[in-house]
Amino acid sequence: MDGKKIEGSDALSRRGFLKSAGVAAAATTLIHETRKSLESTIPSDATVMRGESELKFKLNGKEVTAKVAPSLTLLELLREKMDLTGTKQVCDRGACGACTVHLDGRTVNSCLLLAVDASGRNVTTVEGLAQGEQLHPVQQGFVEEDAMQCGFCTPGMVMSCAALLAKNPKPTRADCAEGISGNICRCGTYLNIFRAMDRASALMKAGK
Amino acid sequence: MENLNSPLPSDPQDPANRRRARSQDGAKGGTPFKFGQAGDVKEVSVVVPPDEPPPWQYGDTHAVVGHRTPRLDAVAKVTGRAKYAYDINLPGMLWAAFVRCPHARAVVKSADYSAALKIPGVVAAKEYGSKEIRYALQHFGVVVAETHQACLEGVRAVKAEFEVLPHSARFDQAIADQAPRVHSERPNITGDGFRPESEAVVDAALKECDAVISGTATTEVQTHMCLEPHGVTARFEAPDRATIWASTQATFGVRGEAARVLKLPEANVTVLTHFMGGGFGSKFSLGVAGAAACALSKELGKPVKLMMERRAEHVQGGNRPSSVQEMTLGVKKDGTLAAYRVKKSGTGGIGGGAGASNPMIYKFGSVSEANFEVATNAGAAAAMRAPRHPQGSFAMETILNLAADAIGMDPLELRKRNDSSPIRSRQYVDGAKRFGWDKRQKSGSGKGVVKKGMGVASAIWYALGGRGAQVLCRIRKDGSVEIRNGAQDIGVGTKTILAMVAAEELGLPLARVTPFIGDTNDPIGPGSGGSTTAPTIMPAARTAAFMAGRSLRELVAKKWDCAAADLALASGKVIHLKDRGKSMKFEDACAMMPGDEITELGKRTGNYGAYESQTGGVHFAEVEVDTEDGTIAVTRYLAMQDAGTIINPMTSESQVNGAIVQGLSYALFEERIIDRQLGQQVNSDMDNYKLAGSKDMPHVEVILTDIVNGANNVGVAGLGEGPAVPIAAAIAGAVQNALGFPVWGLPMTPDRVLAAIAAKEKGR
Amino acid sequence: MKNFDYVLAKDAAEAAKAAQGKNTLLKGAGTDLLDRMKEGVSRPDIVVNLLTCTDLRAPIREEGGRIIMGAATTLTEIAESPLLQKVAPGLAEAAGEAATPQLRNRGTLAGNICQRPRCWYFRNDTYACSKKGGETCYSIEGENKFHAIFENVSCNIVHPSNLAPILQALGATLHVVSAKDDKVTSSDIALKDFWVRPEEDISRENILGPGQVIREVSFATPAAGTGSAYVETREKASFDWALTSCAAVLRIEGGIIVDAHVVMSSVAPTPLSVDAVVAMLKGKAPSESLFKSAGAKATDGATPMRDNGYKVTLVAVAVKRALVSAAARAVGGAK
Repeated sequence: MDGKKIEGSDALSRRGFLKSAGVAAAATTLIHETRKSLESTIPSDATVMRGESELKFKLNGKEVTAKVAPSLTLLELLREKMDLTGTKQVCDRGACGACTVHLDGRTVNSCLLLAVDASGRNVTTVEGLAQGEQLHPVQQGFVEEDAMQCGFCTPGMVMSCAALLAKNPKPTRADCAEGISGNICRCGTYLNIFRAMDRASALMKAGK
Repeated sequence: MENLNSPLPSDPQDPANRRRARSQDGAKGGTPFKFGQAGDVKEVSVVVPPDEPPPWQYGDTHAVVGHRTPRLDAVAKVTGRAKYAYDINLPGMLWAAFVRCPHARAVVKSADYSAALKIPGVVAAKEYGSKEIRYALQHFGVVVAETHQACLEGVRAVKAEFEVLPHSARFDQAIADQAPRVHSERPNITGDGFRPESEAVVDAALKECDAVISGTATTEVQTHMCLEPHGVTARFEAPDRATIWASTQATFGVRGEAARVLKLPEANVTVLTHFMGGGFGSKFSLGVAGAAACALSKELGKPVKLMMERRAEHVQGGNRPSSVQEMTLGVKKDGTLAAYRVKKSGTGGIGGGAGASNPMIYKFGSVSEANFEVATNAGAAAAMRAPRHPQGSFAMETILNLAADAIGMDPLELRKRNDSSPIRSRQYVDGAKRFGWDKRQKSGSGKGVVKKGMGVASAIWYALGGRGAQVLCRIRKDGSVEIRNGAQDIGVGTKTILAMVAAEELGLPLARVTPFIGDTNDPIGPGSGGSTTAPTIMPAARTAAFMAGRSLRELVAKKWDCAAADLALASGKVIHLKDRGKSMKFEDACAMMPGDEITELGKRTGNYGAYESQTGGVHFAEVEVDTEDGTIAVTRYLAMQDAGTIINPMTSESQVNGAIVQGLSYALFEERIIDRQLGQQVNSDMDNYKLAGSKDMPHVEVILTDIVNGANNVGVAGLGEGPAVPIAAAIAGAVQNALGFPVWGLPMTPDRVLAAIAAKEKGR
Repeated sequence: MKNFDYVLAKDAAEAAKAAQGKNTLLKGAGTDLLDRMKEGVSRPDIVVNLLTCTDLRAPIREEGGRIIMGAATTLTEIAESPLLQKVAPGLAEAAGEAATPQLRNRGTLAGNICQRPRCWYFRNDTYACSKKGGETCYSIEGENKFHAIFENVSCNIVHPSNLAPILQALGATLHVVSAKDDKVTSSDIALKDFWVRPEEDISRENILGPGQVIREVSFATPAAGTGSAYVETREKASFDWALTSCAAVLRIEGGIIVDAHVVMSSVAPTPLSVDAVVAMLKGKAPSESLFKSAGAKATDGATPMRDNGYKVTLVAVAVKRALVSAAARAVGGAK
């Protein structure tokens, strides 16, 4: 990333909002309501969200819109407003990884991401990983190596593994352990996840 | 020839065993079958109950059973399609959450719900539960709202006043002089001291011993930390029906409880558990969350979801009690464990249930035991994978290792000499060879900062299942087959092996059989406890498939004018056994049905008896102890584990892997820490409550013992508990081997390891 | 979480202006802030989003003999930066060992430095602890296994940042934008002067006030012969908080330590530079035994509490290991 402009940043989400609100970025007035009535130091030309507003982002390859308040997390939006319940809520504090999704291809804890911060971004959840009925190599590897028990951590694990494999097509066991070190499994499936990653890596190489 | 048709010795904790003992009455004579393990196959006679297939016996080969099979719901789990109770979103559904007290002992003087009710979306906020608080985070109110967010804000808005009372939230507080009583009617410490007559015998025996070793082992409270919290989504359907999506390991038990809360007949209540996110013993009941959701759904006329928040999950979700085990062991030079005295205490919070299985497994001569329970103002314990056993195993195996060192005997040899199980006897030998036990160094002989060690410990369990399940097998005219049981798959692969057993019996590929589980409208099944699910359901599944297949054979027999017994189901066909080459495709046979389907209900009958009534295991661990920073890395682990007939080696190995990971986590990291001031668990989260992660994993090998038990027509034993018994003990044994002295407290965190090293250095 | 007004600031100046108001909090990635808001420990009316500030996203670069990083640079970007891996491997390693891949992908440089302590009494809104304006520091009588062993007088938090100790050892400077009404100024603050001890103001950990935003962080490009390292001790190998940690920066010329910076963390309310250790290192040849003595020296003045005496042993280990690693890199990098 050295010396390069970083793409897919949150700065885009601001522009996304401005665009979706139909106002020009340069001369932004308030999107939602005038600040005059509020006792605050927010500059009068700043972009401020208050109450619910329309959020647009790319979810599993499709443009979607949703009405969200700033305090809503992406996890809550997915699970409670869009019925995309593959992404799990467990610790709700970024310690377990069950809520892992991809934000512009990188894993993030959706419990600690405001939904509005996904504006204009590309979000992939576990539901969006397979191409129709064709499983992602990581999913196929998980199936073939029984890398799951109760399955509650599995979506988050799958998302962490998929991101790792995209970056490192032939990870060692140590790479895998690091890659899923933000995901907790209570049933104890880590060992088969390592095997699943070997399998997935081979499947990817074979072009499946 | 030995007749095994006799009652089994039973684990008194296992209700299935009580039923089983009765079921054996009147069984006489029978047909000979071969049971046992390589090098020890016994021919025993069995009376096969009517309508049941003969038991699988030693040397049988199977087309489906015993083959590595990815679980049938794997795709649903990896794609996120699997719907858990937490995932159920229903039209008009309300969210509920408890209002909780931050104090360990208090009386709720007043609670003002008006601010909560003013929050947009909040539909109800009121008292719920007792005003007498006996542990921190006990609930006293409930808030219901249209959204999750409004619900949580509502909870926060409730203003309550408490009369705070002195508490005994911690074990050390509860046993102190003048400690506040947890239960007003009895002292905090209850139980039985040593019996004078046992003491006299042990004292005398100790005098005859060549070495006497003493030590006190401690283990901390471990919380279940199921990833899916306790709770349900409940929908009361006026006027008289209800559907409950429950995260449970006992669908039928929850149905009964929900029916009572809703004042409905059980027949009108459906409990659904198609997937559940971990139970480990803590999810047998509808629980406080489930009961509240049911009641609120009926009251408000809308579906209600109440899943506990994470902090409460640590407190109200159950736990494994702590233990303090004071031991004195007398051993003779030949390894005889001649005299053993053990005093045990521990806390299971306000609910009790502490205890440690110590002694067990090995032959001890004279034994004197004292058992105490310490009540604390803390969340109630619940069954947790092999209740009492890991605690007992850690303490007992640790003192055995010291005994071995004291008489100069290899610790594995000491165990062999004191173990009569034919299963473990073979596992000791095979496991030692596979693990490279001969490379184990003398305890404490390692040089350098990082020291290596190896340890060994033994597993046991008692359950071969029993009555308590019925399975429905339906063959349809189009050749499709369904197999149904209403019990749950808690993640161990029950659904998959249900289909495997039916496919095996019907001679079909697995893909031709569709299994259904987790719906109480299907035939009854057990709660998943005591490792009884598979051994209780699978024989009934095989019987159901056998009966349905028999009906199909009878149809073909009529057409071919032969006896049904002359026909067999194999390779997707009905095959004539006496007229080779004569066969009919399974689906063609099905097409001959006069009606639309063949439906049979297979019932679980009692066990015949068995080659061994207890399952066995021997586990080996290798560690590296960093004597500078006090960390322990488990580098290798080998589990030699018996579970009778292995229906699916793949999911069975996963279950043993899981036991190892949980046991490692228990051995090295997990500890509930309760604040001595307010009495709250301060680490009621998932970062300071430390769970083993991916970088803490050893290289693991699981070897499932090739054994045919003969307890019933399938001979499968459960794997929930057995492999969970010895893990902390095996790891602790390896640590002891590395250091030359034990770390007496679990979890073996750096503070405890460094303290043990410092104490040893001070003593030198 | 309570609802709030969300300001999508376009740059540091706008953010600083917006952040002057009452009950207004800055948010980088929000991985710490959202955690506190969910616990009810922080309940802001206004949240100013810094990630929309383009000037905080300036890439990692070397300019005029300094390494400069935008305040919103993520920990992953720091860990994976070839430039940092080359000139300040201790910084890349500190970022790479922090938290989890998910949190590193999101968490920012300034956010890591400014995150609030992990003390379990502070993080629990039902404990009215002194840091939250209450009367008591519950860790004094309570469960203090993970608390401070130095400077533990009135509030026994430990500083949780991975990046702070190594940046302090590298002599980093914070470039801060400050707003006073509509006027915006810039200033530089040495990281070592950034911290506020509980005795000075128990409610905060650093001097950043309302209307102040960190725009960039920089440090002088380490001279040839410099090695840097960050080492922590912890219970788990997987995601865990450090029990003790140490950052070391050593410059070795002709086999002699000519410059040394040692900063301990996770042991006191602020990162602690250990001058006594620096004095004993300078002018000596690096050796394991020297570094072991340095580790022992670093524990001088420790005042452990009931449950955290083991951290004294462990901080000596962290110091020794950081010095060993930094020295190896200094020598290796000098070729």
